[in-house]
Amino acid sequence: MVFRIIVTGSFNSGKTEFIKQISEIEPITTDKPVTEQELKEIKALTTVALDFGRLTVDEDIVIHLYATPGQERFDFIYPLLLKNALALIILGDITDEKSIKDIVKYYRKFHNLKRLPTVVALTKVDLENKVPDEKIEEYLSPLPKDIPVYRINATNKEDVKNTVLLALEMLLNSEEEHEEIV
Amino acid sequence: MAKKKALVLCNETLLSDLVVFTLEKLLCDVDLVDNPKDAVSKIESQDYNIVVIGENKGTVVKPKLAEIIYNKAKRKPHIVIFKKVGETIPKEFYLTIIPRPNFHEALLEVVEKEGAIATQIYQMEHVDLSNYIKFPYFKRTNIFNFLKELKGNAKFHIKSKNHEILGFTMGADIFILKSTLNNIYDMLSLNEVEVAKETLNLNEFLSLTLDTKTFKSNLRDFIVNCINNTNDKDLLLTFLPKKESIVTLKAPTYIVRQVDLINQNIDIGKLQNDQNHTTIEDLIGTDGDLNKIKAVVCMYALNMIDTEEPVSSKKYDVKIKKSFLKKIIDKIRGL
Repeated sequence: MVFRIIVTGSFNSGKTEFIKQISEIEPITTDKPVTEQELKEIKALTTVALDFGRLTVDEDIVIHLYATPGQERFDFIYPLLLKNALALIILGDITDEKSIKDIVKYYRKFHNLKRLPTVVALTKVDLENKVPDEKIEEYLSPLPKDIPVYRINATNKEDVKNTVLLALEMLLNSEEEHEEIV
Repeated sequence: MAKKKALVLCNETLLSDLVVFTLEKLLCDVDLVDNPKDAVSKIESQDYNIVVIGENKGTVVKPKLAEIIYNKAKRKPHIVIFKKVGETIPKEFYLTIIPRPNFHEALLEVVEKEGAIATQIYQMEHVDLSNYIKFPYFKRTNIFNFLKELKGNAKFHIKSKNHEILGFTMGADIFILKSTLNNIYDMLSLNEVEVAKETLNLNEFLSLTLDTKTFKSNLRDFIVNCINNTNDKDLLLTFLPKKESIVTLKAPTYIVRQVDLINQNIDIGKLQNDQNHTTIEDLIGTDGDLNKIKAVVCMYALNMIDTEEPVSSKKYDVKIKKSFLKKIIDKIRGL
């Protein structure tokens, strides 16, 4: 039985690092040199299709971890990923306003396809030039109030574990809840 | 020449007399019994050279009965089985299989044609059902749950407002001794009933006087027929767990496919491939096709499927068993 956890977010938000932390295999990445000139200055390689990690729970249950590409031209891939998906993690770079603004866009994109327990994780908390809290609050205000926003370092295994657990526990506890997602 | 001893187990009056007569002519002392229990107690207490097994009041198949008698006998006898057309009797070194003699029936026909009435010898005996359940403790239950949980070797007495059913199971078979229903397969329409149950032991089973009118069926076929005979969609749906429940195929597919009602209405291969993603609603369709509902009720009644309510269906579009989700959470916590 294969289930999926989807990690998405804008370019350079740390998706590949995120799945590395909990995958039992070295993630299979499809990184290629960045072609867009302005993005090239930020990082040399980007994911062009999918990053894939795996976590075996027992002989019957396997979790596939998918990090989806950040660029809009890969939108077609989202519906394909959602079969058997259990949770959605949306990453945003806390030092990058655009990355945080994009979170709402990603949320809507996925929510229109399938309602999944979702956690927003703002990455790179160890860096100095963070976007101010009030701006973060403003950019994320369109999100439903029950979506937790967590601040993490995507290279920290405990942070990553806690983010995924938060999403899965939302699913586990959802039986007793009757709130509607806006 | 010393006389031999023979035991004849047969309840066909004319035939048993003929067999006893023949064996006595062949220098045997012959004891005649009509039921397996008496046969077993005789074989345990006396030595016999020959045992003849014909039609009798018991329900154990002849080869099995022969095996029981052979194993229980102090002095191992040679056993003769009168084989009816269509019966399968495996060969054993202690067995001689001969076709059931029927010349007496042809003679009887001739005699009857000439105006003689000889039918009294074929009258059936009736089962005494007083004190059928020795300690009757009636428990209220749903008739479907009773059938779903019915195991082998049990006596039962079912009472509803207007009806009464008495019967028992032995191995994979169900026997109905008494029923006030016009059609026993209407059983599910009783819905809420009171049931008293008791274990049926082998000795008691062997002593039960059953006749050819006793209803007997394979338990699985019986349950399938009861469900197939029920055309009330709403009633059938009450037997199933919630529509959102996730279905897991428990029985091997070749077993499931043996039941036509299921095989013709459910894509078993697809169900097997989509384990843990298929809900009851997926199987019966949103419109609730009657035959599909019957097929799913069958699988559920025969314990061919497991069902588990999904974690959530209101807030998220996720279908997963709670037990699976807990396992995943535990795994990630332990990383």
